[in-house]
Amino acid sequence: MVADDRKYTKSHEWVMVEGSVATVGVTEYAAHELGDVVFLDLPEVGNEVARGEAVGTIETVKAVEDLFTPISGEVVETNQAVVDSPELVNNDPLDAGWLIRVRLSDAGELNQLLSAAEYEELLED
Amino acid sequence: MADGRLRIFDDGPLPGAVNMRRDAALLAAQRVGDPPVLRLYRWSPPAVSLGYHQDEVDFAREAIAARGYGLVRRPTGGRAILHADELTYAIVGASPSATFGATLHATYAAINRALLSFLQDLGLRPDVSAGESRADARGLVCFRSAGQHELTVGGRKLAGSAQRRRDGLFLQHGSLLTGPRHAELAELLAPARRAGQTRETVLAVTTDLATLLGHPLPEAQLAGLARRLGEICAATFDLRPAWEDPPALA
Repeated sequence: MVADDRKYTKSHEWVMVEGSVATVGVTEYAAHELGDVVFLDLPEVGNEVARGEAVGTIETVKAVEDLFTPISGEVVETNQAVVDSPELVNNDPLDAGWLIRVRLSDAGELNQLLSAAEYEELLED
Repeated sequence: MADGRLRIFDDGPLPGAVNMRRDAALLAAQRVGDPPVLRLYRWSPPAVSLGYHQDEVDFAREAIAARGYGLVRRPTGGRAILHADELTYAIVGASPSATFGATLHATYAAINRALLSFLQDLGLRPDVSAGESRADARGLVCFRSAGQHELTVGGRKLAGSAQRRRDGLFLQHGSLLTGPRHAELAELLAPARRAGQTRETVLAVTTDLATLLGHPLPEAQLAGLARRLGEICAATFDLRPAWEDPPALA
């Protein structure tokens, strides 16, 4: 079951919106596929980021991958707990393992994200 | 366009900074649909490479320089390696793709089939490691423990590998040990980070092709092994080997 309180991307990130701020993390599927996360680089607070842009990196025991933001705006908070304890991304990807919070510059972008049902369909393919 | 070829070139021995620049350039130039590329190379002078996220302060930079070794950072992840006696490869291709699968693990498995076939062709009986603890994976020295997908012979690590993935493409780096000098890395850690690691503790958990084959492997022999590895990679991937002259040095 995919949590239906948020939106998703084809590249396995989730986006949860409260007011004008969106929290971004990786899905349980991604956390499992990536394997044990050992290092994370997150963007600086205050950075303006554009949808689809690489904003950091996530290193697992076997690969370094770019971290993409699915939404545009200003980074207002990053999760220092996952930088200090990267295993949070594996153990609790939907909650304590969140990565960044972005103040949305274009709420319309949210319409281009997948619903929980659409993401679930993607996983079944 | 992908046309059934595996582009291959053997760059021979080069300084670390040149090796890393060339691999980064290969990944930057690759597009989904291009024929995959296998670059084979060695290291002269030897060089320490750090994983993408490793901190330089954990290494004894003066001692590395005093031995005449280079110090570089890899675009791939993982832990540090002293590249001295080894056959090194870089493979750049697409994932998802028919040749390299859709996931990180499928790509490792596809490349491992070629490496296993190469080692079996040399008369060895290699195994694939199931993995290691997260604490080991965050250690400093790559060859100190065998991670998932890494190759061992008789329980000792022979080959390490790491990937960088972006936009449907990957770069996989791999080192096949051909002699014992990699273990000197234990002496090139910052003193506060050595924690009982010595050349001997690293050698106790690793092996190399010279030891396994029972004779030393000078450059002429390594070039022959690199040629054989290239042919076996192409055959395993079901691609046609297209040997190219290495690009001129920038």
